[in-house]
Amino acid sequence: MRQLDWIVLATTLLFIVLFGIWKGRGSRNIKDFLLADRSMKWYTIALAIMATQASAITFTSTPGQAYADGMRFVQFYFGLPIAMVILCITAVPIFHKLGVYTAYEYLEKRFDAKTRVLTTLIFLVSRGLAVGMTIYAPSLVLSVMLGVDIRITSVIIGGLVIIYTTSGGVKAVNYTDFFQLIVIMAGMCIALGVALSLLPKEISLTDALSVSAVMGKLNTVDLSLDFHNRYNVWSGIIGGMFVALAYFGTDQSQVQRYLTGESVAQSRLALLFNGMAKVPMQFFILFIGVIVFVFFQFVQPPLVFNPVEAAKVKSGARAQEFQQLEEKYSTLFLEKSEQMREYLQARHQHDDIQAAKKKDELLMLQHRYEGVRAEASVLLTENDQKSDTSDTNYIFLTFVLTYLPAGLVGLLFACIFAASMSSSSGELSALATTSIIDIYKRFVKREASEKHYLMVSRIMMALWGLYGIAFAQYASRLGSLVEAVNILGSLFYGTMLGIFLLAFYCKPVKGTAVFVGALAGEIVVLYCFQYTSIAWLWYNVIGCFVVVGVSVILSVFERYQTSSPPASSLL
Amino acid sequence: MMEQLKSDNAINEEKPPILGSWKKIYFAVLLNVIVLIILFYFFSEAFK
Repeated sequence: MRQLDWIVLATTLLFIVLFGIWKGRGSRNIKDFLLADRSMKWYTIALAIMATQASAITFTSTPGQAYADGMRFVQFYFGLPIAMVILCITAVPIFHKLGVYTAYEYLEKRFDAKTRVLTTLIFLVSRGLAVGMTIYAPSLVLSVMLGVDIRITSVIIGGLVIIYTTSGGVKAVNYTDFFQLIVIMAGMCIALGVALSLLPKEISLTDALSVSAVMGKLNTVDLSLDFHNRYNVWSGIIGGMFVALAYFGTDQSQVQRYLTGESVAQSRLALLFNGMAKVPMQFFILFIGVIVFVFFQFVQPPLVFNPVEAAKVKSGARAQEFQQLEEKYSTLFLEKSEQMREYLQARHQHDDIQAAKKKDELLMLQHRYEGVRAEASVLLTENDQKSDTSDTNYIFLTFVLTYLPAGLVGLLFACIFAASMSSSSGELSALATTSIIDIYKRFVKREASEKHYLMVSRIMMALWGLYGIAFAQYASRLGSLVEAVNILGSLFYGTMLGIFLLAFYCKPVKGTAVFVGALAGEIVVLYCFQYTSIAWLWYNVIGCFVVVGVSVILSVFERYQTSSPPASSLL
Repeated sequence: MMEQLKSDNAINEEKPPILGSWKKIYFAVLLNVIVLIILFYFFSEAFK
């Protein structure tokens, strides 16, 4: 990065923090601090919801994912609008009417204290692990790309978030999220514009799309019904809907956003805006990845995008083999680039036979090209068992660092920092709110002054932030555990959703039945995870159905037992 | 009891700023995603 980039990066981050402190000033009680005094307008909540959901990895990894795997990931979001409508009809009016601080508070009113505690603990464990990862993952990517120690990047992200969340609470979180999403989307638009302008002059947008389609990157809709295929229309609509229902309906980091709405209408509008905008936004981010892919069909990309891993292998015992692979890669690139131009020429001349022939040759070359990248990945692992071979996080940032003009690089990196901060601030405030409302205020100190709860809320936010930073510092030493931690977080949503669906729709079901059903649901999900190859999107559906099924059966059994006369009376 | 009913009604009667009713807005959101899926499908097919 050049001096101008550092200035832009530092200024943007400083502005975000000051903006958060300024907007969040004046909290007098915990309603102010944890719910922004229920005074937020829909547009602020809507962008805060979207910013919290989109982590830094969304903006670094998603374009890389499109580069490697095409646009099929967009299907994951097809079920989200349906979930938003369902939540607007059920959860939003119920939560507003009861005036709860957390979604779990409602469960005690509806069932009992043990169900509330169970869901609170599930949330604290899963989200607690996630907040560490939310800071760690982008810190790692940024440290690699900027050549700065990961301890510094994680302290910057976590430290800045702690400053404005402890000072302004949820109001600061919502306003900074709002601003951060605007900065992020502006940065991504600029990145797309630059990527398009950097394409060779003879390559039009239609040509670019044609090239990406030939290479299988425009795979936005897959109608095949395959339970082992992670992304198709059906897993997106059904599985994605369940994920979104669980995330937006039961995860406090999202529920808290729309609880800040000044009315039911404002909260509903925020969720519905998210339902309308999320799919196009995700399509747009993936599309950037596709254009970067096309760009790298005419300008040679590095064999390995992660600069640290590339440097490691180049200075290791396998350097010569790596160099040979690089030479092979370069030769294939030139050949592919030439074939690409000939394919486009055939298309321009409407020579379908020649175009089809060139297309086949291109696909063959692409297969060999990917093969060399796979060989390089194996070489990295053989050179160092601990090496990070998942290259997708580094593709977009390599493009940004290498090809964007001075100033814009700083802005794009500010976007990544902002995205990381917006997600972690939402998580911190949710974790602190749940710790205070569902644990501290409920079980530790039931009667205390507002001043006391306000002070404890600030301390709790700071403690969760410090925990997140500490996790990020040590996460690299956890090795493969990091991946396990990441997966672990996604194993609880189905159970949580099942509990809430019963709470909303099954009035006869009582607390004990739900409690047992939840435990059964979790056991089944963990079994599926450990012993089956079912795609993870379906875990939420399975977990939810088991919780609902077991709870309803137990309730029917319970009612039958209580309604049937005792055996003695039958005699 | 009456207050509770009034509060429920107030929530349900709160009109959205556009389209006149919440049902219409929900329908618009669902229609939007269907249109997007169709557009994405034709987008992919157009360049195949």
